[in-house]
Amino acid sequence: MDLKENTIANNAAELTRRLKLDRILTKKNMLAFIFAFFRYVLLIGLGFIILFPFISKITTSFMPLIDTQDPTVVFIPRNPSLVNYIRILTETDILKGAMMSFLTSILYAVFTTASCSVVAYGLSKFKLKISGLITALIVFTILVPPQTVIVSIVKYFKYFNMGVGFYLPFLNLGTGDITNTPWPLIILGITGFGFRAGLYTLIMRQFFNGVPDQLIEAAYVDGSGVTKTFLRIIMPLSVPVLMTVFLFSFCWQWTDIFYSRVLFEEAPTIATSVFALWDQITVGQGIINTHNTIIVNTASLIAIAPLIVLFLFCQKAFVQGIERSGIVG
Amino acid sequence: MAENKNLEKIETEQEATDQEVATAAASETEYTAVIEKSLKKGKTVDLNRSMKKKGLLFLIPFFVGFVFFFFVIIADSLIFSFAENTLTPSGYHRQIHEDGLLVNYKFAFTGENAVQDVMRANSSIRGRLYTQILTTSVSNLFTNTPIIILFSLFVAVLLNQKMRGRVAFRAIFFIPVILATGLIDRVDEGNRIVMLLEQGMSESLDMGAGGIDTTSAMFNFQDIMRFMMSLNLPVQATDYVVTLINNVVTIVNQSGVQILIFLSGLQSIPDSIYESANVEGASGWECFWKITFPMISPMILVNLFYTIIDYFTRSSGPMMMYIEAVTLGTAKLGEPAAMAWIFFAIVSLILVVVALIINKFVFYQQKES
Repeated sequence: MDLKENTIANNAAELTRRLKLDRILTKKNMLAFIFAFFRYVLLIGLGFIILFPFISKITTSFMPLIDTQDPTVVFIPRNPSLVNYIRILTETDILKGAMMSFLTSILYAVFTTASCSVVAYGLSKFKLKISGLITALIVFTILVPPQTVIVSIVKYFKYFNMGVGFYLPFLNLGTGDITNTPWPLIILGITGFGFRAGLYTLIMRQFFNGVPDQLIEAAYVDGSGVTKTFLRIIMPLSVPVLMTVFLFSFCWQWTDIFYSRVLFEEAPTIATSVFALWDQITVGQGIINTHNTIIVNTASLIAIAPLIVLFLFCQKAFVQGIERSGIVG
Repeated sequence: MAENKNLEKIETEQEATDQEVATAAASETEYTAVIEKSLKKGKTVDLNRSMKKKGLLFLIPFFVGFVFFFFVIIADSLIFSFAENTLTPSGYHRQIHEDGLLVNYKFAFTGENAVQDVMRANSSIRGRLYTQILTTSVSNLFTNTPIIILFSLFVAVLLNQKMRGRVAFRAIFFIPVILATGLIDRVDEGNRIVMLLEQGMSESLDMGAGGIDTTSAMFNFQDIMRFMMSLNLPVQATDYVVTLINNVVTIVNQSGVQILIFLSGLQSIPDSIYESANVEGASGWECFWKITFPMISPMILVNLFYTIIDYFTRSSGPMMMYIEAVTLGTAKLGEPAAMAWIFFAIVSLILVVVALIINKFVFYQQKES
């Protein structure tokens, strides 16, 4: 009996509350609607700013020479053709560059992800006294712009002897030139000192900080060693963040022209071959016109096409990985 | 004396057994072997220490990289900046310059080393000296950074709200993080130069298909300027707004990572705080300033750091392009190294000052142990 009365009373109260609120809600609803409207306008506008360069690159890439000379044609080609693509694919060695890029980027990304996760785990889960110092050093490695040491990097890999020659110059060790091979990037990957690799280590460290210690202790109690715990328990847990770091390092290496230009002078990657096209067309011929820029832009579009596909497929995992880690200092 | 020694011995043994019991309870199998081994030897066991040794193994890649790659390169570059260097077929040859160690640093400030190459150098560095670029780089930092921080915070708050198409919007805002670096950055920079050159050559308004430069294709500055003039605003304000609009694309493209960082921060704020604030009758505005803002203030510091570092080190920045152009354009190696180290020192100084100032305003949550 009591229960029934209670529910009836509750229902009545609910009803009167709603009736009263209705009047307020209409005003609130209006405000919410206006707010939502402006939010969408803003987001769509900003999204357009981001997408616009890509969209305009795509539409102009289908313009043959005749369209570029016609001032009435702005964004949409009048005689769409694939002539620009065919020219680039047949006349330049962009496909060779793509092979080189794929090889170096994938090796670099795999090694960087592996080494950064190992170092980050060491920093995060063992309460070492030197952890603070090492984290500071990692921040320092991000701070030094690679351009500052560009000459030294080239010199290091051109006269390569693992850095031993620097410490023991009197040994007169022989040196080998390992530029134009994937080796420099493999070395940068294994040691975790590639472009912005310090950032990956910090992201990973933050992720591991969020993994409860009890989980690892439980694994130890059950007889799993340190290495086994890391490989069997921690690694499967951190797939999203691993994927994020892998994507970051792969994509940034793919579009990189800084290391590639100095380390792969004779074996251009896809990014450097597009950049070389730029130099060749504009500086070499001395002709700067719309058609030539369209050729370069089309080439850059071809260069990033694989990344767009990759991003579309991994977008969800990528966003989740970065959000879960939470890069808090 | 002997008694005392005995007592000490007993005490240490007691301690040792205590430790063993505690740690062995925590993890039996991993440690039993170690304990038995050391018991046989009659030594006390510090299990944490043996664990830490294994932890050090995880840091080996970093140590190796630091000692055999990073330190070598940093030291080498510093030596470069203090010496006179020549490139011979057999390798690099360096010697101390007759004018002293600081000759390269002096040259950076006084030398007439303007980059003239039209296409390689973007218009903002062509024909200018190191000191000019240094001052513009630093002063641009103070106008750009606050805008990037405010903008990314704003977008992150918008993207954090529940709405339709949120996933799609997020995906769009993360595109610049992956794609707008390196190559695309440089190609767009080139497009901009071509635009300017064409404008200068033909003076015509219809750019044909080459109108790839986004800002000028989307906005009409003249209208905005006229509007602001009609309001009788000071010239500086008009200039600031125009430069801002001019930089909209740059700002949006450089805010990707910052938006990510703010988003992750926003999502780590528990809903219960907002709920209790709502019960107390706080408005959305109050919620933002009293809850959201303090809770993500550590992120603001992180983002400030990231923005400053990113601004200075991205390869399309004026200083980096200048140093690169000098490095590739001249056979001298010491001068660009000196320029880069001066720049690095200034950046570090700015970072330290920013950290000291901002850290006072940052609200740190009590860390749960």
